Amino acid sequence: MHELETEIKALIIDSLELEDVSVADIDATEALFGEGLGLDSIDALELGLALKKKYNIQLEANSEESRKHFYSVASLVAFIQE
Amino acid sequence: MSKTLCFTIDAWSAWSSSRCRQSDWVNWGMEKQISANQLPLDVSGIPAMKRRRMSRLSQMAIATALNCTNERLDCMNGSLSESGKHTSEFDKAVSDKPVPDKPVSDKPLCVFASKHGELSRTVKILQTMAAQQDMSPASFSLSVHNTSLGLFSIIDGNEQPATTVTAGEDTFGYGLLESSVILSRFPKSQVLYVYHDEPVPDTYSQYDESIDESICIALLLSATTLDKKSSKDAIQFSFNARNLSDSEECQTDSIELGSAFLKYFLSDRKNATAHTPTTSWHWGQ
Repeated sequence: MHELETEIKALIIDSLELEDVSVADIDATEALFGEGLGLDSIDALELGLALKKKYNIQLEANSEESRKHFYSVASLVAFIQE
Repeated sequence: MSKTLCFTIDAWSAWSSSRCRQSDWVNWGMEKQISANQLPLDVSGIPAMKRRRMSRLSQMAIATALNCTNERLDCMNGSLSESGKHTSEFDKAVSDKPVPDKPVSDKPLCVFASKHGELSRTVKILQTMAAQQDMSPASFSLSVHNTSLGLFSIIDGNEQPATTVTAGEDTFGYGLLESSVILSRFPKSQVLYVYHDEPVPDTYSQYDESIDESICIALLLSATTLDKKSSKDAIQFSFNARNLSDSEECQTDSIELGSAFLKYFLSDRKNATAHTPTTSWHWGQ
């Protein structure tokens, strides 16, 4: 669980080019988009692509489900483990 | 010869891989020795969250454009209260709020020019497609010719009309022409003219060797009024097509057009002419 969490944080930093952010800076339960880490809609698409490449999971662009999965690192971990 | 156009340079800033400081450019213009210390591009004026997806080209264009417009603020006002005002305006832009609450006419109209724009990014996208992989959405959204202009307008909170120009090896000159035409239409406004280019990616280098280093020139221009006419910063220019049949050995300057202009501007010469393969550009006071 913890390992996957770190892995996803690293994936977020790497794929979204967050050069000033480290794994320790990301709170697993904090919102990724808008408030919190402050990511935007382009980041959502980019992160979706990175998750697809690494874990071979497909996320629908405009679904309410995807919105929930993308809320935080913790929700992404839960989704990938499903 | 074409009609003569004129403009006045209110502020300027430039950056290239080999000339990083304003003083490097001034010394270079006066044919003096320039510092051998190369400095990385200072991008601290661009908020980190906005900067992270920018190409080197866009970072160079925006950092140099901000330097140029800040220089104008410094020389226009100079006082502490004004620099304080500028900071708060910048903070508003950083915090993603729509636009600073001030008259739109305070900001310059913008002309950005680049021969190849974000070609490096486009090449990477094409390579991804050739390998039948999914392309990066962020990269795709930033792969257009007006990327740097769009990002600059967001960061500077500039809602003025803006345009981008590309015109082969005459790109710098036609950008200057576009800027001058806008000034003659809106003589009370300023135009921020930003020329920027980088060497083409290796894949295409055999087709274009005209740009040997990354370069950006930002000029804040205004219409030349009567009182400014005798100033060294008031410049006239014209251009004409070269008649290639005139001589077999139609020579082209080895120096890129934008650099040739800046060299003229920073020297004490009264006038200068630069040649591209198709056009001769004349500058004078």
